[in-house]
Amino acid sequence: MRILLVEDDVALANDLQKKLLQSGFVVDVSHDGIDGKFRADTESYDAVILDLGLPGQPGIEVLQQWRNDNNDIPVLILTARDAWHEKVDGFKAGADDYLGKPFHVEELIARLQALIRRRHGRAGATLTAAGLTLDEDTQQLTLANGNNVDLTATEFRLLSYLMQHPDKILSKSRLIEHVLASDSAGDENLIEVYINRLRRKIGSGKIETRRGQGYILKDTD
Amino acid sequence: MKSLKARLGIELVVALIFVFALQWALVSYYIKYVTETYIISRIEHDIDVLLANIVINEQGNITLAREPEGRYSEGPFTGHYYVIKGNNEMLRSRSLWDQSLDINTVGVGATSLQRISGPLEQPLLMLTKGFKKLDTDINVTVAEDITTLNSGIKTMQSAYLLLSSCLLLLLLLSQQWIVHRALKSLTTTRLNLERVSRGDTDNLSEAVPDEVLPLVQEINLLLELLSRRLQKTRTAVGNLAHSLKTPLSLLKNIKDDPAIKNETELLTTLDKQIESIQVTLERELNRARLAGDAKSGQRFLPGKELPALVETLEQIYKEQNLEIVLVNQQQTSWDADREDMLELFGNLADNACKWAKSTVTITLGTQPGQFTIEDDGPGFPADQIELLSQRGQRLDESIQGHGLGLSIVHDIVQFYKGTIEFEPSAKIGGLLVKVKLFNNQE
Repeated sequence: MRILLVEDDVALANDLQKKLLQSGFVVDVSHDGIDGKFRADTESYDAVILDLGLPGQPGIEVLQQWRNDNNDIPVLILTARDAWHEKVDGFKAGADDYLGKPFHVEELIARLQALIRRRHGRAGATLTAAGLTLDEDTQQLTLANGNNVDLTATEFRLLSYLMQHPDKILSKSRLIEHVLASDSAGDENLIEVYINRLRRKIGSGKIETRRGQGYILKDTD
Repeated sequence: MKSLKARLGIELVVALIFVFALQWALVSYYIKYVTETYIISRIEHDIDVLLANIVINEQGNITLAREPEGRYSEGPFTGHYYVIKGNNEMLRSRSLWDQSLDINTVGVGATSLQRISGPLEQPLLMLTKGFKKLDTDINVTVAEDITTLNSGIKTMQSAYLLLSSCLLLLLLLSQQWIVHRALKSLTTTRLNLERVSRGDTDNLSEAVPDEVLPLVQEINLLLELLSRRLQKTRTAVGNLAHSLKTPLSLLKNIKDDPAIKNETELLTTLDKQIESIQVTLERELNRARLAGDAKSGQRFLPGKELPALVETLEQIYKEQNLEIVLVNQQQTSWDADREDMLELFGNLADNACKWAKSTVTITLGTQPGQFTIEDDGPGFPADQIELLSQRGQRLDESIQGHGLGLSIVHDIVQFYKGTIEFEPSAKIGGLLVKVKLFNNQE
């Protein structure tokens, strides 16, 4: 899952980026409002973590503009300004969730996952598709036969993204954006490597390759 | 310094008493002088008549050619007396009877005016004149009782005194009224100041007399300075508190760092201290807002703000699928700041949502400032409900922010002169919080 983090404090942003990555989120960081708005306008994210006190353009204005432009990307406001009138105004502007600083990263992650789950119309913290069950909290995969399989962080991100979009062709570039944190030349090959690793863990027939188009997770149920 | 009105009153009374007393003395003296002059001229006339009637024989003895009639002879002590002294003998009016008068003897051509006490203690005005008639020295003395004159003057004096007193009282009353009217503009200013301290207005009306205007202007300048300083302090506190929260976030998440991941004791201390800093920050932020701006913000419209707050809470507690019910929408605005009221409702409703199983009910009372919030959670045992009412009581530490929220709530309730009560909810079983604000305005 690919997240945009708009936060002007560099130390906090770097720390969050690192920790979110461990929990299966690819994080792009933007340090001011104008850049943050531009990125969400031009690229595809699963959610945005938005600070309110931003240089360039205040977070609340950025949010209002997205909503005016019918961009309904899930937005979690993460701010030191967390008095109740500020929360009310934040939700009025179109926020989906609100978290006051200081916060526990665990809570941020839980809320972020819930936000994305809601976006995909799911209630619980588990993803099911193609006979697989993926627990987002423990990052554990359960196969149809009941066996548990451990995944690396990148494998988890790749599989959860595939399971969120079953029966859809996902291009390599889209997978790179949403799964890989880096942006290097060998990324296309890296995706192939991870797909092959996943096939070994979940069974080779579940992920099909469409030449020139990308990959598809067949949800046989 | 005591009352200005009393001081002005006393000064006026002293001045008026002095003026009236002087006038009284002058008038008394002048009337006495005029009447006495008149009596003396009458006495002189009588002396002239007596002198004309004096007959002197060859032996030098004097007799009166004709005894004067009327007042000098009608009976004893009529109050009109004469005494004529020749060389050897003395002629006296019959009215003198057997009494004598203490008369100064004067030389020829001289006069002597005496005020003496005559027969029957009569106060007498007595004039003696010296003549020379046919080589005989004669002193003619006429005396007149001035009892009626004196009592007339006394009556006049007391009448004058009475009149003056009445006038004095009248003047004093009208002066007090004038002063009261003049000071009324000060009363207006005082009431204005009270309104300032209540927060109804932020400066004094300058529609006051010229004498008071400089004072009012100075006060206004001072008020402006004060409010600017307060605003500055408040902003500084707010900025400080907010800017500390981001580094605190980093500190709060330091426990994941591999270097101290296993230092459980250290991490517990760290957590506790960060929590304590956070509580202080939130509370001081709330207090700064309460103290700084009771008036400048928007007024609280429950009909507009509460549905938005309910929506906010429903978003925050979306996972729990809570039903938040708002009973009795009020369209009137409350005499309170929007931010303060949202903080009050927000904290109480947030607490209720944390405990609730499925429902939270916010019920507005009939009067502005009255409402209850109840949940269907587990509630509190009777002995702990007591603790909720105590300011600053930190409740269940496992539910983050609970105690903090309550201490903020207590601060707001106290600021708006209200009361807050906690009891078990009879309707849905959890905790019922009853708030009543603005108790001073009844």
